[in-house]
Amino acid sequence: MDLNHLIEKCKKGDRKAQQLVYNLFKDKLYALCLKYCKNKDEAQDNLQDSFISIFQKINTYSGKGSFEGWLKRITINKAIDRYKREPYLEPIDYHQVAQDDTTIDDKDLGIDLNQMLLFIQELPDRYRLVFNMYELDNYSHREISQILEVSEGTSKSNLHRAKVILKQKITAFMATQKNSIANGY
Amino acid sequence: MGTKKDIGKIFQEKFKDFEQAPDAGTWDTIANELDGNGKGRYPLLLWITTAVVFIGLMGLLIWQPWQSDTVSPSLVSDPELQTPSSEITTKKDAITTTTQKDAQENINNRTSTEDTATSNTTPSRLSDNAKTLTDTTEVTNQKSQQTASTQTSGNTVSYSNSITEKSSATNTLKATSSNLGSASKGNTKINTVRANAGIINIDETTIAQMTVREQNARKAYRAKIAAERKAMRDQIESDKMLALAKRDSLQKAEEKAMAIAQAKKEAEKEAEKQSRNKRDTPKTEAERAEDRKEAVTYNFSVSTYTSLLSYGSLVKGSSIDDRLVDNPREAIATQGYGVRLEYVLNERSGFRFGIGVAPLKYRTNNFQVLNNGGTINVYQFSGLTPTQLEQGGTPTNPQAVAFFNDYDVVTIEQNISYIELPMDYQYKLINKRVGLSLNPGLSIFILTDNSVFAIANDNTRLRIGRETSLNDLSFAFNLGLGGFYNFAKNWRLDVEPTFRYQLNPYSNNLGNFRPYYIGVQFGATFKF
Repeated sequence: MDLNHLIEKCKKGDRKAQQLVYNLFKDKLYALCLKYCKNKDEAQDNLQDSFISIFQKINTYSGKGSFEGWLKRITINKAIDRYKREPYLEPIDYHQVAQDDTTIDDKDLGIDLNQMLLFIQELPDRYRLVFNMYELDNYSHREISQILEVSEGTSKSNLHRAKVILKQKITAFMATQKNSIANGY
Repeated sequence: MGTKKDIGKIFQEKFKDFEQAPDAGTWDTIANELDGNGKGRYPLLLWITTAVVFIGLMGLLIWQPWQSDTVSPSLVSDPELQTPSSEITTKKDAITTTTQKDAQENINNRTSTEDTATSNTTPSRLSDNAKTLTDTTEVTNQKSQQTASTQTSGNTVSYSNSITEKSSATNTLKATSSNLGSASKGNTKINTVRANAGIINIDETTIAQMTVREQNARKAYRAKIAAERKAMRDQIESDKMLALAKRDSLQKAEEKAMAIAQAKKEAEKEAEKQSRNKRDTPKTEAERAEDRKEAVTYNFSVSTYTSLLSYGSLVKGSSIDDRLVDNPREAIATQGYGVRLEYVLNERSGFRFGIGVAPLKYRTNNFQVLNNGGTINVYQFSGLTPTQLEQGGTPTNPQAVAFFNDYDVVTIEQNISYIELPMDYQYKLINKRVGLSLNPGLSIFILTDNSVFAIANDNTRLRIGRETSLNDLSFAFNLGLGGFYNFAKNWRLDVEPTFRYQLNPYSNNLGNFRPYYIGVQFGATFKF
């Protein structure tokens, strides 16, 4: 059964077809949720909400664009809705942040993927959303500013600050690991 | 040393193909939600949470832990500290009438009294001390009640005050206990006092228990106050965050509204600019073609017209009498008018139906009048039905006789008027903004006026009769050449020279007269 056929069946409310669609895309969308949410529990909740929304709105899918892209947009939007309305204070001095270097030596790349995911999850909500949207899901700052209802400048500074924080975390993590090795742990 | 890379790139590479499986039961939850079992999950949770909080609050209100935190209730409930009810009532009344400050002073006073009692351990003093203890208990109880009421108002500072007050009250109690203890140890008279007084029975163990209880209560109080302060700080922080969020939201809304207003303003400016450009810029060929097409595309039209008419004959002759054949003739211009409806068949052709008035005049000049003994030759025209005439050509009207006596050469003028009903087929040779059409057709003529006049040189007129053989209903062949100018989508100006040749104007055409008339119509047409 091809995907279009499955989608048609989903539009008719066929539960088996919905389960097949779920099985096809659950891993990708859950990974997306993990990146956009604070932790696994919230990612799990977001995944559920997203699939419910997907199957409720599947009739609006015209079939013109990529279905996977459509699913991802809904999932990302759900995550954004989850965090966008939370109170946000911008504690950053933009000029100060702008001077910070956001590059890192690629010898530090040997960090476990789950650890890197944890770094992302630990970012403040707004920074995490902007970082994910811009760096991992190819949104432009203009799009981000429209979706998050902030200025493009804020989006850029949030991204920069997110990178600075991530760099600090990676550096600190590597330093800890080195110390552990040096101490024979 | 490796190469430097942007953090974003590093994460992009790492998470390029990142996938992870969710919990195994996720689909079941989703399916349940889709089946409607999960409907209202959040409202239900909310209700449960609300119910738990409500029950908790009710429990707190009933239990009133802040009452048990104070020393006084436990002291009062201790049977050993119970004083006769009448005494308590008296003291209570006395204290109730004092202010809080007075009560504190009262406590202090009592404490000093108790100090005195320590040195003079007489039964009466002890009795006083006991009473003082009871009084102090009452005061503390009052304080406790005040503290409880203060707690409900949520004022942390009041808690501190309450603690201070209670501490002083507790100190008083301690002092009293200590004094009483030393009195008990040092002097066996206390037992006698106890027995004699019969009011209060306090021993060291009880006082020690009281002290421990007091300390526990104090600790509990401090913990509670700390917890409530923390809760209050959290609440303030939360309120602050909410206020900031609200401020952000309002700012955003304001910015959005301003942006919308600005965009609207710019759109209006742009529209105005475009409109101005449109006015200033000559139309393109396509726009002109569109205009032309609009101008010539319609289904019906209504025209009104006025026409200049000239009546004449194709051959030499007269419809009145053969004697007039060789006389010079003159066509007199007249003015007609009418309306016309056009039904368009296609882009090139259509049918036209109309109704109009066509007054016509025709003159034969230089007719020699002969008056032969009252018989005037004018009245002897073969095609004339004379008026006011006796048999033999003698006019009965004296004015007529006088007219022909005065003028011997007259002009004979025929006045003929028709209501015409033209029906044309219109073929547009050129159908553009300025066009040309050929309009052949037929007309029905209904005769409405038929008069013949004799006109003298000085333009004096005399009606002499009517043409005998003119038909009341006749037909004519029409041929028009229409020129028009579509000056607006719905409006057109027309100029149309028309030739009408009458097919059967006479029942008896005496002089082979073949009348026609030429008209030039000027009109305005509304197209729809």
